Amino acid sequence: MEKTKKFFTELSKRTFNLLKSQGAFKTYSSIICIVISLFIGIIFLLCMDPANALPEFGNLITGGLKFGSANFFAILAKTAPLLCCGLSIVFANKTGMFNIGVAGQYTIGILGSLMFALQFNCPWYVCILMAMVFGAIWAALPGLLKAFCNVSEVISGIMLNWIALFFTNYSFQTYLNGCVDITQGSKTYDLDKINPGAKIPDLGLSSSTGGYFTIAIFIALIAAIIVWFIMSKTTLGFQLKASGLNKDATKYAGIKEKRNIIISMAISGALAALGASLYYLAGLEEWSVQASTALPQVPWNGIVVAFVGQLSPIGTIFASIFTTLISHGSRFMLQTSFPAEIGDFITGLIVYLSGLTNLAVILVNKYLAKRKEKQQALTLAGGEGGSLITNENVVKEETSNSESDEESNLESKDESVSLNNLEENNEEGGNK
Amino acid sequence: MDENYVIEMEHISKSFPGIKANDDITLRLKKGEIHALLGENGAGKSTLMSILFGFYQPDEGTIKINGKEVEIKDPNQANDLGIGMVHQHFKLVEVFTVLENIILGVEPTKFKFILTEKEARQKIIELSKKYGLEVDVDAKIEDITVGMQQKTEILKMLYRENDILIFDEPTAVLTPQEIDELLVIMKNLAKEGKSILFISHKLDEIMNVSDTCSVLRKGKLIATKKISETSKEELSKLMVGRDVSFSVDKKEQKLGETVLKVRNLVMADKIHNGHDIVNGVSFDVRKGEIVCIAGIDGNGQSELVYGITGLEKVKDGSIKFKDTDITNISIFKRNNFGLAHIPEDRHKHGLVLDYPLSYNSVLENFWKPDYTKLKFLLDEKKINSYANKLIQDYDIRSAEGAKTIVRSMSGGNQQKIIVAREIDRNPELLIAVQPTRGLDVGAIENIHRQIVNERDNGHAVLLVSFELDEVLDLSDRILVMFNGKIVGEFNPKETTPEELGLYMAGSKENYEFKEEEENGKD
Repeated sequence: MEKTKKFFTELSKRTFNLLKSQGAFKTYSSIICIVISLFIGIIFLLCMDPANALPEFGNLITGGLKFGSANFFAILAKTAPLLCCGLSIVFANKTGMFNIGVAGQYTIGILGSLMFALQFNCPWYVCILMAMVFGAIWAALPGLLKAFCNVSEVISGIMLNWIALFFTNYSFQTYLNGCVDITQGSKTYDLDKINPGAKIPDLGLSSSTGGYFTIAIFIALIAAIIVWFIMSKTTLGFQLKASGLNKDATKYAGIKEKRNIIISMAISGALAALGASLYYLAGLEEWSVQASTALPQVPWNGIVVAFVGQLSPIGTIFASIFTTLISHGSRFMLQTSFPAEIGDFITGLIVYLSGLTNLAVILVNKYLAKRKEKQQALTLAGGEGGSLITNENVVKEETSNSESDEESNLESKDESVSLNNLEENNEEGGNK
Repeated sequence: MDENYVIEMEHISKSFPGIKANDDITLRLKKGEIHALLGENGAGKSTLMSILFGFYQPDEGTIKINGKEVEIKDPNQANDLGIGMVHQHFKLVEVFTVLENIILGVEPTKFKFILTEKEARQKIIELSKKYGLEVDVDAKIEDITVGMQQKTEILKMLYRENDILIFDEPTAVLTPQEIDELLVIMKNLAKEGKSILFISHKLDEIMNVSDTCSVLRKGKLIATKKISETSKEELSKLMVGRDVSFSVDKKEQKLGETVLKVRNLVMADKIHNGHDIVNGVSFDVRKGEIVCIAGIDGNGQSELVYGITGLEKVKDGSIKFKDTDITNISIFKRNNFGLAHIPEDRHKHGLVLDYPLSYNSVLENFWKPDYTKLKFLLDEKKINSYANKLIQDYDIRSAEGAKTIVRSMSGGNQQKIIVAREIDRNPELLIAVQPTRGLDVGAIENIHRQIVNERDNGHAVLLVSFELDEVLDLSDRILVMFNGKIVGEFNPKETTPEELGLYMAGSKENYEFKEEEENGKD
């Protein structure tokens, strides 16, 4: 009895701590911004067609949620590549790089996977691996330029995006004759016709899920877990994060920061290419060589989900599922009143609002910090404070130090102070 | 109410979560007075000044400027009231030039939108000549030394013609001559009717320049003394709460083999192309001695250390560590040969501020088997226990132990992390640049003891310091650097600050390096 009771008090205490942790606050901010943007979305729907707005909005959200339906699996299938592109952004970002070349690496990933699937008749895992190698090499280029010539990875990334697109189309048209089906308007061949072994396994569930189910989503989820693992548990992650936070200190510590920039970009590119192969090797679509004059949309949405997911691999999982849900859900609405673009519109709103809600969270934290301060002052005045002062000498030093820091940092300082303090309070409460 | 007071801070109290940073402090500053504020790190000096400068609102108490009660809500308002401040950590835009930084916020304009730098430039040059604050107004902040940056900060305040000047540890990075100059400047400013609040740890300066001194300890005002009626010993006792020893005990010297051989080292100047900032420097460092490089900031000491530690490429010459040529090898290899480095700028090079204390304690060694599992996984437990060991052994204070994010710690404790980490790596050669910059008496005592311990344990120490007291106290051999060259070699027991000063200022030169010469005392 005692033990179970203790376990439950422990549990509630832990949950309470978890709910007040930094990560939780980030989650709140993401949820707040999603709710607000959905609300604005409803307003727009009401303006377009007041009578149908609310039920149709329900369809938008729940359309893809019916388990077992083809649409449910369609969403899973579309989430996989999006998640990988989001992870690509997250990974580079931790090292202080903005991998806007993700679209190019994705396109090169298409080339890699389809080339090995259709031209060389390789099995699916080889195709995925080769696509990742292609993506890694493509992403290493801006990495090299950044490391050795200090060229901004944003500029070189954008340029390489277009090079990647036209290089892919040129290669298909000129050298890879076995890939393109001219009778079908210069699209690549259907995998089932040429090389069924290159299709990602569906565990025999393909026919019952409308052809949508493959193990791609699991591969993407494993990738997310691996990214999280590398970042928080390995020495490589230690180095990469340190480079992202303070380049000079990593140089001082003897960490090869140039090598790290290249490695981080290469892994980021491999993730983007993995996303491409999970889409094209699932047989969801064929690459249209002549019609593709614009870069694919998925990697750009990857940037979106990475930021909505607060640049955390786990957050990115939820963000990518939600984003796919919205953009896919728009097709369940009454097409005569509401264009399919409404899904993209709401996604766009989420992106803009995610910036604003971060601000809101900072303000809330500031308010909490002030309230705590006042409470502390009251307890101190109550006489209990004597012991606090001697015990928490340290905290004093902390606060007096933060003052001399930059003004602009004050907000975040307050935030961290308030969080620390909350945790301390909880501990004290637990002890009593 | 006395008409003469320009600032009256009455019964100021300010609490932060868990702590009362200021507890009923009353501070009055007269017109034309230099009022020193003395206290250890974390005693509440910075909080009090931040309240005066509008960063924080006091919980209790009132502030009066020129007898009028005011509420200072932000630094701009403080500026309007004529309060200027030189911060401990400078607030300069790194990619702007000195001139642009000085006029930032008060840009002189024509038709309200065209920048007219000419008059500003004239005024700044006049000010810098008048007060001896020589700076290259067109150099970018990121390219100039810490000392120059500080001068820019002071010029900024003078340019704004503020009447109440707050100096937050202004002398921490200056040479004795520069400090003397600054103290003269401060006295002149006071004579011209400006009122100065002077925050410092250095008792000599306070005794020299100020009229009154307020001592803070643990957030409380301990005493306000007239300087003419007190002594250095009394003030230090008031500040720390116990007696402090000012000198360092060293064991008798046991010289060993030569660890570091620097030959004709040349380092290029990053700001002025084609000019060499270190110009043919040669010297040896042997086991069991502390060799100190003295000199005025900006004479090539920083670059010399960058060359030895590998942070910048060597232009010419050679560096030998024991018998290995390390001139062009990676920093990683240098670290593992047994070279440790306490860097000049702890925020830039020494720490990843957003990492916890534990990660920072293994910044160079995280890959070693002691801290990893299966060679590629971090072993959090071992890293934490190592960090806890350092916390214990080196008395590092933090809010949450090994988990504390370093950014939230005080400067003194941040420095202690670096010192602990570097010394604990048990290096054969320790290079320390300004290891006690901006620290209080207690922390300085601690770090000096650690450095002397290294020497007593038979390791070599190369110390770069701009503070002559530190140089004379610690070193076994002094090399003076001027204009990129070593201009003199001294035995600290046989020289005086005045003699060193002459060499530091470049008015004397007497050094010729002889190969395999047994330097130091026998």
